[in-house]
Amino acid sequence: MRIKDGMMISIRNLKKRRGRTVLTALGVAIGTSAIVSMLALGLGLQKNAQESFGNFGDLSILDVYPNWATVAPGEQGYISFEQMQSLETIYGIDAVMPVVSYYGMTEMRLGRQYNGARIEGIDFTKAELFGLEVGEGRLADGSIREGMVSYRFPEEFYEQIKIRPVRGEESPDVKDPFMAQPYQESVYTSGRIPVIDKAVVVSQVQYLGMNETKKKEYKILVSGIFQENTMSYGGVMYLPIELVEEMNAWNSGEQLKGRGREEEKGYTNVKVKVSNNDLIPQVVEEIRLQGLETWSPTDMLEELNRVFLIIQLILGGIGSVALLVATIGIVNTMTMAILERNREIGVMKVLGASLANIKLLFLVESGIIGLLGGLVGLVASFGVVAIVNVVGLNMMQGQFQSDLAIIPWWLILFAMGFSLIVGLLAGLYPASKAARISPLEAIRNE
Amino acid sequence: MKDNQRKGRIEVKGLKHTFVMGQVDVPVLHGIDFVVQPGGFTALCGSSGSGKSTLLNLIGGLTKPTEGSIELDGQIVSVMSENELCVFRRDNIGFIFQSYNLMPYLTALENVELALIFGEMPEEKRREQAIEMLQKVGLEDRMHHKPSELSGGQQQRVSVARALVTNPKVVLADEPTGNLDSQTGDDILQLLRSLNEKQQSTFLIVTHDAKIAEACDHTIFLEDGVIVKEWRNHHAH
Repeated sequence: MRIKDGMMISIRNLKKRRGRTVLTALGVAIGTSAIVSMLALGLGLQKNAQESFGNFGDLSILDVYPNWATVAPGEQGYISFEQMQSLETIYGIDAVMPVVSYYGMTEMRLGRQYNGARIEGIDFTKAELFGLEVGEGRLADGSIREGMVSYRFPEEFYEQIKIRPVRGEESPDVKDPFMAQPYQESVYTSGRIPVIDKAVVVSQVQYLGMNETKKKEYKILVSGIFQENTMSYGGVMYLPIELVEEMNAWNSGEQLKGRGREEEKGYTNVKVKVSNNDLIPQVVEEIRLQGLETWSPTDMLEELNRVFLIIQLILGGIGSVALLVATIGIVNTMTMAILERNREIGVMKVLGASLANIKLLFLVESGIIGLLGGLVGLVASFGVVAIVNVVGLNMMQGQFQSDLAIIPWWLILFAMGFSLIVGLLAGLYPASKAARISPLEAIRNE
Repeated sequence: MKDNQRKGRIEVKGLKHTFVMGQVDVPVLHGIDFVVQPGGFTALCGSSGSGKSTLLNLIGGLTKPTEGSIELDGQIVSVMSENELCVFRRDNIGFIFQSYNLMPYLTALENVELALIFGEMPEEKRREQAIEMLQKVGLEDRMHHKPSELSGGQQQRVSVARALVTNPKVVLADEPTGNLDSQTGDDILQLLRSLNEKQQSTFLIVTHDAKIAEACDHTIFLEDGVIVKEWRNHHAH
């Protein structure tokens, strides 16, 4: 028998029992849409979680720290110059850049405008590799007179305005010495203040006593502004590492002599650039083997993927129960059909239908029921997903960046293939039962 | 040399068959021996329970004998496996039943085509042959009717067409006129007779109707599972 003829006969038989076919397929549809909707929800949650990792910036840039476990309590750990050099030899690391953060108090002033930006010491020649690209102006020359600023820096200036409080009109005799004191109020300046080629006065401030402060001032020429990026937030002033170290030393009262501090003690933090995201786990492991500590969002991402796999297995399992019930429904329908068509099958065998022919007819029937159910179920799950996305996003406003549930293309293929296989599997037993029917059935009960 | 074109020599030797009904064995055939000449028109007569239908089913390969052998043009039917029997029936045997056994939801044409569907014949050729066969049984104007829209005689004609469309070596008919009035029954008998002439196939007809038995060139009488009488008429050929 040709497959096409088998299909034709099967489809005719299904049409003959339209009501039963539809009801049986409906069972499969419910099962399929349960599985697809559940998986879509799991995938959506996973995608949201992964997207929130986008905020960590470029995954290929890792922060390396000293291993705190090897440092005595209260001591500052350092990455030595030698350690930094050996980081460069790790396969997969393209570049290494020490970063020195300034941790004291500062005040930045440009004319009457003040700015509270952080200060970071970087190697300007490597800035671009680490996601800092020049937006306006030019790269700083690396001398201690020049620096650069982040994209947000020019927006965060404020003015300090002295305000003399107005005396309470209702009681002019009250003389409150505190109320009478003038005080300062910060008023943010709107718009971006031009900073390129301007000298910003950076003052370090140390409080020595009640009213005693110590100041040290640097004039920094802003050579350029970096493009907006995910590496740093808000206002940052980037200075050469040597300068920031000098500032830190002044702050802690240490004296720098001759050689740069980096060669004496090392750095508190080093950034490394990994050439390929796939190499990140390997590089992280290598860094740890060298006795240093690092952390990458990919660590957490892997953990997260494991958690979501479990969530999906549970959600898919719930849907599978529905599909299992539907499978039993197909077996039931097909077995009923065979009982009714005993004689018909007998006649076909008399006419020369082989065991394989009869099996094919019934497998095609159950396969079509499965596929039909899968198709309807898939359409239904698109509806369910749409509702979940509208209702769910309203309920959890702002918590999710994209859709709560998603149906990727592979899930569509999976659902269709799965429902077809379910239909075929459910048809195996009835089909072999049908094939065993004796041709004598055609003559019986005459 | 007309005989050389004829097909369907049946040879039955020492055939015994026993039905197993639960715990009880019911012997039906007790050793049957006979030969049907190719292209013959043979009647199998006997009262009900004589085993004539069982004998027909065994020859058609619907079931396997307990003992003995059945040969059709040299093929030993009695040793074939179930799958071999399916192919054997498809290629060599045409069945006609008392109750027609047509598919109620298929048209006359589709019912006839069904006998060709289990082979690998292309659709157009299948249709062509089925139409041609329906013309031979005189149903060319009722081809697209379903069995429920046809009279008993017409339904039996469809089933005759279905049995003969594959050009089988042997046509086995089980009480083909049993459900028909005598006039229609005569017509069907005439049709079978003329097709026997045209197709040169062997016809084996189970009947308890003496009129049919007389019309055949070879009659075998069965009683309680044994052949009690056998004669050949020479009026036909």
